[in-house]
Amino acid sequence: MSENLRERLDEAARRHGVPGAALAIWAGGELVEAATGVVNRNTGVRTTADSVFQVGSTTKVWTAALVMQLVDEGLIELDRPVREYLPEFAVADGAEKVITA
Amino acid sequence: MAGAADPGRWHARLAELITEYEVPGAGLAFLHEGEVHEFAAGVLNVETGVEATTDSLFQIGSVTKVWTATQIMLLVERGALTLDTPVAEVLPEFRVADPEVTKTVTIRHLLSHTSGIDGDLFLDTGRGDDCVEKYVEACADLAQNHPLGATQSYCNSGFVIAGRVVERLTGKVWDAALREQIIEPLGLTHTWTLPEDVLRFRGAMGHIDGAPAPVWGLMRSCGPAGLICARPADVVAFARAHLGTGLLADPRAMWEPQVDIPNPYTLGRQWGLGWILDEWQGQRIISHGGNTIGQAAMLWAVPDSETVVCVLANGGHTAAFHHALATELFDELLGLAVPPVLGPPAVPFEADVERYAGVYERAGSRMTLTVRDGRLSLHIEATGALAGLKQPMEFGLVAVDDVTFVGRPEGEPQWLSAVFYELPDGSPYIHLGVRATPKIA
Repeated sequence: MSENLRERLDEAARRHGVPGAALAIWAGGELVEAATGVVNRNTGVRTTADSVFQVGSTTKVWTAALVMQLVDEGLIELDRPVREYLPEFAVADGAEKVITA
Repeated sequence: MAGAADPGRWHARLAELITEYEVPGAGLAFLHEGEVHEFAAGVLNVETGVEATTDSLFQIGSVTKVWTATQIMLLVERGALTLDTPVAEVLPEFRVADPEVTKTVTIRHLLSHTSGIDGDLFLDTGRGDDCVEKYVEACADLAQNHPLGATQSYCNSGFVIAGRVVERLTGKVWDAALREQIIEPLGLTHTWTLPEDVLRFRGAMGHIDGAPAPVWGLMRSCGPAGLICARPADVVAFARAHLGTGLLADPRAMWEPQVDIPNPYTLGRQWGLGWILDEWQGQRIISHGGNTIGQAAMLWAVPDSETVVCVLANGGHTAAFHHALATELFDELLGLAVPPVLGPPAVPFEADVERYAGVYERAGSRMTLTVRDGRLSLHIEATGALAGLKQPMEFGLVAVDDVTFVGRPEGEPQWLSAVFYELPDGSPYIHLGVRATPKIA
């Protein structure tokens, strides 16, 4: 499976001009990892399954999970205004009074 | 001998030396007879296995101090200040614990490690552009290690203060001023200070006891004292500029001896401005080293021969590695003998050691000397912010003469030397690791 996956990743990256990519799949109770290419075309350092990439806005799901941990701890309620937690919070149109967590 | 060198053999030789001294990875560049030669061996990180290349960036640590000193000298040549300008004249808000030192410490004291201000403050003031400013504010509590100008003691804090002077006079943060004053004029493409820039290149990770260090680098506040990351060839290009007029109209002003180093057996005999000065077989040597968290750098220049050597390493027995490499390379390039590291005398010397027993302490370090069976034993422990990163160590000292002793920590191939001496006012000191430490009990 993982050998086949790596070949398909190599091929897809080549076709789409991607310098380097890494993939991890959790399915059927099994983790499969694959990597292709380089992390930097200037240095030529090869991508591995352990290479750290910028996950960008995927971070938002992590932040949401952090907030939900606080909900679980009873420190935040999702439908209360943000202003209850950050009294200094403000936006341009005054909507800060109704924006909730 | 000069001219007979075969630079190509250093590809294989560097690989042999790093194995012998348990160095994970190293970069080497040297300028000889007008040409720069570059070499690399090993890996940047034993866990990732990424290979070191000649373009890899290593932490050059305190070699940075020569760059900061050069920034000041560029400002001196421009007429913005003089070496004898009091720091307080440029930074009216500047304070250290001693009010007289606050008023009278000069730029020259800072660049020659003679201010006496406690030098090993490693304070994290955050990653913001105000980190150097905040660090210098915190210097208000620093006491004197020795009276102003009375001796030489390695002073990191003094170079951060010098960095703040650069910031005030250029109106830029230290990193930006460094780029504008030195990096860009010299066209150095692989010299950076911030981790987010180093990330764009191959960057070395420091190793402690063979494993990656717990953290990658020092706090940003220490920038002007030691945060440059560079490839060896860029460091060589920087030193090369000091052999001509590429940066300064009078780079030799930085080689003028400012103070004798009380222990002349460690890095050199005297301190200039930034540069450490020594003499090998009558040849003037200017140099500086650097140690960060698991990385170690050395830069040597022989101005009269226009030869420069820079070696950067990311762990292992770096002091012995640097010495072995320098000994072999300078002999090959110039027929020049690097002085051997001071070791025990062939004939044992009986010194009166009781008078040296006691506790010696300065910010960041406490040394306890005890006499056992007529011999001195030295216990060194780190105190303050770096206490958790350095294990205490204890080893015996062997007398070389009445005031000079050598010792070797367990597992280290290299001997360390210590010199006991007194200031003009009679107060007893030990000089070890280029630092003067007063006897407090």
